[in-house]
This record gives sequence, structure tokens and C-alpha cells, in this order.
Amino acid sequence: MYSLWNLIKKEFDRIITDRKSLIMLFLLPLITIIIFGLSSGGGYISTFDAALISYDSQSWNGTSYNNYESTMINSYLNSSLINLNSNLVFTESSGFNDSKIFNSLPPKVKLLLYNGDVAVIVVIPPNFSETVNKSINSVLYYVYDASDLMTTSSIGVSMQEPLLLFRVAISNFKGVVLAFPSPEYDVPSWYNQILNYSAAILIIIIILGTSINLTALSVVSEGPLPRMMLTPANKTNTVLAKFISYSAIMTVQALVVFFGSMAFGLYVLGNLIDILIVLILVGLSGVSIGLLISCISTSEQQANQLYIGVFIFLILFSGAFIPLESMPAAAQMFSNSLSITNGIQLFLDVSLKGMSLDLLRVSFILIFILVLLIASIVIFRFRKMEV
Amino acid sequence: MGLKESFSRIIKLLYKEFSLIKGDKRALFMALALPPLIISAFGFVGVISDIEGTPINCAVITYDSLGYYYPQYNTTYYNSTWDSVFINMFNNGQFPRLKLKIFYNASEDPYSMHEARLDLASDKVDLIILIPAEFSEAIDLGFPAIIDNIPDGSNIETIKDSLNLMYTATNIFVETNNITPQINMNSRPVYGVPQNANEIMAWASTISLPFLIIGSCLTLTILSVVNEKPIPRLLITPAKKGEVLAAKYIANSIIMIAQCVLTVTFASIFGLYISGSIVDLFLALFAIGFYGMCMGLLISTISDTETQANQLLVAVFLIMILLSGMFIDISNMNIVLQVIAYGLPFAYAVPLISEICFKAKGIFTNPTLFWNFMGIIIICMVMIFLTYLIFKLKRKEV
Repeated sequence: MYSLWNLIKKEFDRIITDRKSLIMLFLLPLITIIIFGLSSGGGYISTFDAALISYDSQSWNGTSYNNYESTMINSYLNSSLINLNSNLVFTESSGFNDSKIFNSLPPKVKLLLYNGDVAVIVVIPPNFSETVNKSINSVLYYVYDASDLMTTSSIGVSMQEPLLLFRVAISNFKGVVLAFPSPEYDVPSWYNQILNYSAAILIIIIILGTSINLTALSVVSEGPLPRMMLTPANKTNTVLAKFISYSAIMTVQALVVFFGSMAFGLYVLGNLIDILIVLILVGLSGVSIGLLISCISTSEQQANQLYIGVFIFLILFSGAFIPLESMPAAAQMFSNSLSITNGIQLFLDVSLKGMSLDLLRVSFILIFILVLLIASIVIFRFRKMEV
Repeated sequence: MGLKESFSRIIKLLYKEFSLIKGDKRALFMALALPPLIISAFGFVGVISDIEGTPINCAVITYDSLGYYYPQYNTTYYNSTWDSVFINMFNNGQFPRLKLKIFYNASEDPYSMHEARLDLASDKVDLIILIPAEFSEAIDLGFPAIIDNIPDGSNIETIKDSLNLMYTATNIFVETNNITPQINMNSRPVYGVPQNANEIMAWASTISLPFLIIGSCLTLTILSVVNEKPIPRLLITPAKKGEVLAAKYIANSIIMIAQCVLTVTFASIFGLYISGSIVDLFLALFAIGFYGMCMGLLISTISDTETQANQLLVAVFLIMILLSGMFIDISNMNIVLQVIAYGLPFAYAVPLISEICFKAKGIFTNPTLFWNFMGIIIICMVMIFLTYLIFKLKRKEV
């Protein structure tokens, strides 16, 4: 015990000696949290830029009736979700082909989508006014840029708004069935929603990134370590001392992140202390990942490569790219054993749902830390050291 | 004559650089093996995951059988024909991905809503669908019939998914039961990911490929100047500072090219979708990797100690992640941060990869893409100049 205490003191002495690095240790989370806080200051941009081409005046069944064309165009011009400029409204009296809509569009209109000037092209077919007038089913077409995931996932719903405005304009609601959303446990509108919806993943990434970095070089870069092993200092205590001392530094970093995010208006429905506990737990897991990396690596470059590799791996498998529910059972189990996944879920449950800490997830993180710590000790014990 | 000598010195320095890189075989192996391994693991999970089929568990509450008082005619309607049609369709699985988990009839259980909210809180369901009292009456009388949907707002993806799925469900409901007149929207996606491609890999490649390449190039070079003890002594020989740096750029570029080739090869095995030219994709990735290398060498030159270099690496990498547009769109950022974001590679790299992979645009045939590519190259040039300047002015103790 005495030896462990001395080793902890030695670790703190080492950390304090490099003042520049020590300042940087606390400055780093502060800078990242300021950037995070300011990163959504521009407000929501949620409209889709559109162009509209109308073939309504093209002859259909012998008529070129187009009385509802201007009402439909106005509905798009007045939409709050679809951003249509009047100079991007085109009218054609021939050339409509419903089996090859995109290919039959005039080149200048196609080019708008190809160049990314608009995200969607709305096409009014030749029979539109006729079908509305006869109160039979009408179809509008829209060609959208599916290379943008955001457009692909939300254009369909956004396109409903101009249709409703059109229904209001013609005072005909027959056949309208609407699904109206009222989310529960969402971020209140008077809070910064963009910031708060991304807070769980970004704050956890910041904590993990800084805490893994704390210890990733702690073993591999310590020159006198092999010589120290000639003294009565025990290898297990050496690793434990590093874990304890760097965990103390990480706790201060977590506090900086915690107060920093509060200053930028983090919305927390649940207990603030629970959020702090989540941050510290994730930080502890980062410290243990870093220690393991440092024990495995034989050079600083290797440790750096493993650090970045592990960090990118954790982000890719955090559930941000592939939803956990869509993974097969084995992959889900693996993802659920990662501290990043449990940390994000705990953060969301406390901050948005107001729940208390889920003990199962807390246990998963604690087991994760313990397993990595034991692995680090075992690897360090068997590590060859040249004095 | 001077140029020839300089060239010969660079060749020798290159030999020295490769000897140094070869010296740590494990690090070299990691540099070449880690990015392909990570992208393969991600691609593999993408292949075996089923995003399109993941159900959204729903609780449906109907209030439709309750009386609806119509004040204009002072009449109470008890019509609930359409809610049973809707619920039957739900039960028969006619609405894609929406799974009826729990059903409540508010006319029989007055605490239905309370119970459904408890189900939502305990994650038994992801979405509450509420059919209001006037639902059937509204359809029969030609009013807009509204179905309330209450998704779990703590997950932004659930909100988006439930909105899209409910929109599809109402369309199917209206079409199947021929409730007329309908005005439907017929969508025609272009430039998307084909059905047979690995959708997850395709979408994520625009951000994961640049991340992996930049990350591995940063770590490749981050210690190459600050860690190299004999550099000050090397400078006593005829080797010039510019030549020492040039050798480092060339040697690391060769490793970086190998990293890019391996990463794209492994990503392709797991279904990376490239509709454009593979040469353009490689050119884009080389430019992105070169950015990572230039940034790594700049940090290594600025830093006095390895610890400082590592801290700067983390700071730069975290800032890159925050301002990449991956989580918060660049256009939604504060104007100052937008300026910083445009000094970082992702503002150029993501559209570059996306346009090549999805729209088959060429770097040298499309002006926008060309300027995105040039944007990266210009920033690299500025970084090389700064690195040279700092390296030249830096004090070296032999």
C-alpha cells in the first residue's frame, strides 16, 4: 500500500514537472467544449432548395386545361420547408414522359440537380389540373438528389407541406389523412436543439478522446520504467498507480467538460450529478483503454497509431452510423459491451428522459474498465524490458 | 550542379527515412494494416445489418369510438368505422416496419394514454399512435383526418423514422381504401446507392474514408521530426533543412499511397459503391492523405516534446471531428467556426468523395470538384511553407 502511494506521488510529480503539458491537459477539453458549444450557433437550416417544372399546359386527353397550375406553384413558393425561387419555375408545353421523368427533363433543369444547386425538382404532369378539377386522384412527381443522406431521409415528409397549402387554397380536404408528430422526451424548442441532440455523442467523444490520450503514452514513453523495476516497486502497483493518478486528472477534465457544456446551455431533464457520473465513468474507461494501448505498444508511434485506430473504431461502432437494433445479435452484444455505446445511452436517458442511471449499463462500463485494467496488468507483467 | 547534388542528398535522406520506418516493423505493419482492418470490420457489420427491416414498435390508442360532439349541428357522432380499418391493416403488417406491439381502446380504458406513455418511457415501444375521436367522422365528412404520432424524442433517428414511416402508412391507408380524391407524390431518386450495394458502407464512406486516411497519416508523421534525435547532427553535414523535410514528405507519401490503396481495396471487398472513376477517387484520397501528412509534420515541427506533439494531435483530431459536419452540419455552425471548418479537410473531402462515388463527377471535368480538390492542395502548400519556415527558424541543440 505504501509502495502504491509512493508510485502515485511519483506519477503526479512527473505530470507536474511538464507545466506546459499540464496546462494543455486542461486547456484541451476546454477548447473542444467551446468549439462544441459554438458549433451550432448558426441556427436551423432545414429547407430543401427546389426547382419546379410544370407540363400542365401540355395537352392531355385533348385539353390543355391548367387552371390549378399557378395555385400549385404558389403553394411551393409559400412553403416553409421547400425553398423554391420564382426564377427556378419552368413551364413546358411538351416533352413529358412519366416512365423516364429525369431523362425527359430539359438539360438546364437536370443540370441544376447534378450541380447541387437544388436538392429536388418538382414535376407537375400534363393532367394535373384536369384531375383536380374532376376530383379524381392526382399525382405529382419529384426527382431528388439521393446522394445526400439527409435529403433521402426527410424529403418525402417535407414535400407534404406544399400539398396541404394547395388543399387549403382549393378548400378541398377530402382524402387527406395526416400523421402529426408530437415527440415526447425531445429537447424543448427554447433550448439549442441542434446542440443538445448531438451533445450525447459529441461530449462522450470529447471525454473519450482526451482520456485515452492521457494514458496512451504513459507506459511506453517512460524511459526510467525498466530501471524502476529493479527496485522493490511492483509491476501491478505501477500500472495501478498510473490508473489512479491519471483518473484524478481525468476527473478534473470531466469537470471542465461538464461545466463548459452547462455554460453553453446543455439541457438536462434528469439529475446533473448522474450526468457527471456518466462522464467520469466514460473517462475512466478511456484511461483504461489508453493504459492497455500503452502496455501493448513498444514505441510511441505504435501507441499513437493504436490510439487513433481505436478511437475511429469506437466512433464507427458507437451506433451513430449503424443503429444497434439493425445489427445481428452478436454484433449488438459486442457494441453494447463498449463503453462509448453505454455512455451515450446513459447520457440520453438522463438528459432527455430524466431517468436515473441504468445500473445494468453502469455495470457494463465498470466491467469494461476492470477487464482492460486486468489485461494491462497482465501484459505489463509479461513485458520484456531492457534496462 | 547544385541541383544534382541536392537531388543525390535527398535520395540518401530518403534511404535514411525508409531505414527509420523499417526500424519499427510493428509500427509499419500497424500503419498499413489498421485502416483496412477497421474499414473491413465496419463494412462487414454493414453487410450483416438490416437497417431497412428494423421494426419500430408501436402502441396504438384509439379514441375514435368515443362520441365526437359536432357543435354546428349540436350532434354527437359515434362513428368508428375507419379506426378499425386502420388498426386491422396495422395488425396485418400492411405498414412497412411499423409493428403493433400494444393496443389500447380509450373508450374501455380511460388511462390508455398514461399507460402508453409508461410504455414509451420504459422503451417497450418507440412510438405512440393516437387515433383521435373525430377520425372516422373527418374522413366521411371530407375534413383532414389527423393521426397523432408521439415518437421517443430522445432519439433523433426515431423521430425521423417514425415521421417517414407514418407518412408511408397513411398513404397506404388512403390508397388501399380508395379515399378520394388523393394528391400523391411520386418520388424518383437519382444518384443514390443501388439496391445491391452495401448502403451503410456507401453512405459512411464519404466520411469514414477521409477519417481513416487522415488519422493514419497524422499518426504516421506526428513524431517524425520531434522524435528524431540525430536531426540536429544531420544538419552539420551538407544536408539542408529543406532537403531533410523533402525526404520526409516523399517517404511518408509513399507509405500513405500504400495505405490508401489497401483501404480502398478492402472497402471495395465489402461493397464500397463507386459510380465515378476509381482514378479520381484515389487522387482525392491521396490529396486527403497528404493533408493529414502535412498537418502531422507541421505539428511535429512546432512541438518541443513528444508529449506536446501528442496533445496537439488529439486537439487537432477532436476539432476535426467536431467541425467535420458529421454531427452538426457546417452550414448550421457559427460563422467563425464555419471559417475554421473550411480550413480543415472535411469541408472539401466529404463533397469530393460523395460527388465522385455517387454522381460520377470527375476532378478535372467538374469545376466545383476541381476547386474542392485544389482547396485541399492549397491548404497543404500553406502548411508545407509554414513547416519549412518553423523548421528553418527552430533552434537545434546538438
